[in-house]
Amino acid sequence: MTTSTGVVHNLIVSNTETIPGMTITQALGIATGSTVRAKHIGKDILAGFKNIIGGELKAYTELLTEARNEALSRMLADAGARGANAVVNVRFATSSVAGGAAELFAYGTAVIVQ
Amino acid sequence: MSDEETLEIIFWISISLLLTFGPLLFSAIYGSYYQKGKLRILLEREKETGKDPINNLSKPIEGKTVSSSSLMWVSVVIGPSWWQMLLGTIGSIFGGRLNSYSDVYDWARREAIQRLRESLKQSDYDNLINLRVETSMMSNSNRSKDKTAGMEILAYGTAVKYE
Repeated sequence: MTTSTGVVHNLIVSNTETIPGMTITQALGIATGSTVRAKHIGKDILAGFKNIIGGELKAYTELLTEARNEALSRMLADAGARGANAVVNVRFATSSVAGGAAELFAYGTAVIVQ
Repeated sequence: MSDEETLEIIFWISISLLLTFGPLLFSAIYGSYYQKGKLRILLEREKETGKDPINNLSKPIEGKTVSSSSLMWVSVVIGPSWWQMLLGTIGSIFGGRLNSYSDVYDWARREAIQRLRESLKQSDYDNLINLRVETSMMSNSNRSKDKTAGMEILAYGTAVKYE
């Protein structure tokens, strides 16, 4: 159970259209970050056993949390390279690619706020 | 056929039956017991939270000034048990309500939101606005006998702190 720290690379991240309590002075385009992860075979077997009784598959939760953190930090690096100090309206998307791998994608609008 | 031979045949038949249906039986009995326990724990945690700090409004409450905000997210991967999948397969022949699936997915969504409430409590933020809950299926590779079925619930929103 990990949550993002919020202020990474000195950027403010929000999934609302504006940063609450601040005004946007400049929009710098879309910042994106993505990563593709495959299931680990050992964890896969363990998750398969856990699947017998159902419930949370912790190995996958950890895997996806780690992967999403990476996608998010790539997005922030992209925004930082554009000279932004905040990313607003962040959205997550997940899609599965061949061979049991998943693509995690995070995108948002890089802005300068005051 | 002597008594001994009959016993031996019965023994081997029961062993093979146990190997075939044993995991399913285990899934049906222990799985439902395990999931009920988890649901009970979740209900207690939801009661402890008290006033719900989460909403899905796109703006913070009027009349309060926000001093800081941050993105906060939690994801939970959940899988129905083999028994529930079997019930679901049988149920989908006739259509209608599939209780076996809806129970486990309802639990997963509430668990994700509850974890968000708890991490909100641990941090120094007051409220979480603009909650979004997204669902995605973990892919099953077609070629393998992989029975793993997982669904990922992602809950995210903007945590705000009032002055």
